[in-house]
Amino acid sequence: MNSSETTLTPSLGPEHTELVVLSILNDQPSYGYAISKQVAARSGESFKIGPSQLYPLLTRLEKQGLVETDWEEIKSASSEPKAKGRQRKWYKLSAKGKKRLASRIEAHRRFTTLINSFIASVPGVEA
Amino acid sequence: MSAPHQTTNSQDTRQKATVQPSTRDPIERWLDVFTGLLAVNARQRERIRDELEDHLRMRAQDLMILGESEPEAVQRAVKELGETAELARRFKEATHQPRRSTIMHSILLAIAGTGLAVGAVTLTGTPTAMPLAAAVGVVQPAQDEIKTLGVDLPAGPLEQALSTVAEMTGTPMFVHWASIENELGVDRGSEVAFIPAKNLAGSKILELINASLGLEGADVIDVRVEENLVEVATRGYFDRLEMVTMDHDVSALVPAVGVLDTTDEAETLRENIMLMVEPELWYPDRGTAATATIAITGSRLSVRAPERVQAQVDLYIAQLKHAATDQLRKGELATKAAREEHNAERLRTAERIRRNCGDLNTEVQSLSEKLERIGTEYWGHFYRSDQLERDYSFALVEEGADSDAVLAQLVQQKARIESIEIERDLLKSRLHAVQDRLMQAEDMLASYQ
Repeated sequence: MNSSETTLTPSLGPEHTELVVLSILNDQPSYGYAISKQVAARSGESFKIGPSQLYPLLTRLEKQGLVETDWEEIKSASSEPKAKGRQRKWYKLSAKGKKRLASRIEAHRRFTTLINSFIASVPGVEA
Repeated sequence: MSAPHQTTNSQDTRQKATVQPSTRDPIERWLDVFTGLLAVNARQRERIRDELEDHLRMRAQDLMILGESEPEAVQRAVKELGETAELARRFKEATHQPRRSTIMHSILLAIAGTGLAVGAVTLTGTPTAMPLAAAVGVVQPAQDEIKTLGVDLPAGPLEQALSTVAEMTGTPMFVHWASIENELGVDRGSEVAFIPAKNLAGSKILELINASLGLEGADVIDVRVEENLVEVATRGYFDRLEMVTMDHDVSALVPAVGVLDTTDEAETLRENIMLMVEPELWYPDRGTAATATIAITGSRLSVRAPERVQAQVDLYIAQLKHAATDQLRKGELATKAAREEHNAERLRTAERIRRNCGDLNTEVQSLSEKLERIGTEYWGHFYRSDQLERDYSFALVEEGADSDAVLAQLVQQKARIESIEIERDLLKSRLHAVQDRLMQAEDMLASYQ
């Protein structure tokens, strides 16, 4: 095995990306940019969900009824009182989303258990 | 749900942004281009725009805190969003979910196990440059999910071939024989040649079945899957079933006119769509498929067509909008280049005038100095002449004085004074002329600054 193989950073596939995003929203409502920052922060910058991946995913989750959304108007301190502010979209996990999250977690655990059964006894590699 | 801060429902009443590239900031300009590519309805387009604007501004702000300049931060934030057209496609995929699940690979039913297969439907048909799967806007199965039938299809009647496919996939299949027999002129017993289907995907198998039966264009056998049932019928049958009317916004492509008015550009757009997107659907004489209709009034394109075609129309319009935006951008670049060249020429001209003013100033100074010197000389000769006049008057009455010699000197002085006066007048005239030219040059220079 060469050195580059030993330092591979795991990347998120589509299913894991959905799992991570649903988990974050399960903790508390959030919005796109905050979600992407949380993913990076909680994984020690190992995982990054780029906007081109995140926003279409959030759109799909909303379409499937897995998240509920709400809009917030963001105004800067210097803007006029009557001026329109920027719009921020908040996401919150729906009841359907919670079920999906539970099923994703279950599938992930089953998968991990299966993989572990293969690698637990590989000689020369510490568990 | 309520956001943790001030919440508003004013979203729906907000005015749609118009494209004003020259006066908007880079984020807005990018959003203008991006939303032009979004093949979603106006409401969705505006909401996606708002969300991405929030992201871009937050990201740019963070990058500026980390020390990047504003232009660098904005550029990087936009770059991180990835390729614009690809992002628009992803949003379209995420936004559009077909009413009926349609399949490209009927065999996916067996693989999915649950019957929740998804995919696109065109199994054969008029070749098109457009990526149809993207146009239909459905989730494409991952490559490793696409399996093959596992057995070859022996030569035999059509009914037997379809039964074999159903049997091997373990999925119930219903064949609309009436539609196939009436519209395509083939029946259960129509002979299908041997198909080496073992390692082929479902779409290819059906394509070969159609080819074997001599079916092509719009008049082909097609399939749909809903829940745990595969339906087999003609494409026309499904098209009639999936016929919907949708409005498409083409305001970016046709001139603004009254709601019920139409223009030559709108007519050209209509004709191009009919030629480029499934032509046989708009011209009934080209096949037996369902007849779609299309009308443009004002900036609204109304299309009555199967859902799969609506998505293709959407994509075609998005491509045209992209081309229009590109053309606009090129036009702006050309205008900018011309403006820059014009400004550069003005600067060069101003520089030439400035140099000319410098030369004229030098000349004015030189002439002024000469005039000053000649003035001094003049007054020297004038006083000397005045003295000689007094000496001459005295010599005329003074005995023994040489009045002729004094007179000769006086005449010489007078001649010199006259010569200096002529030279001084010439210098003055020349100085005035140069001063006039300098004044004109300075006025011209002021107009260039």
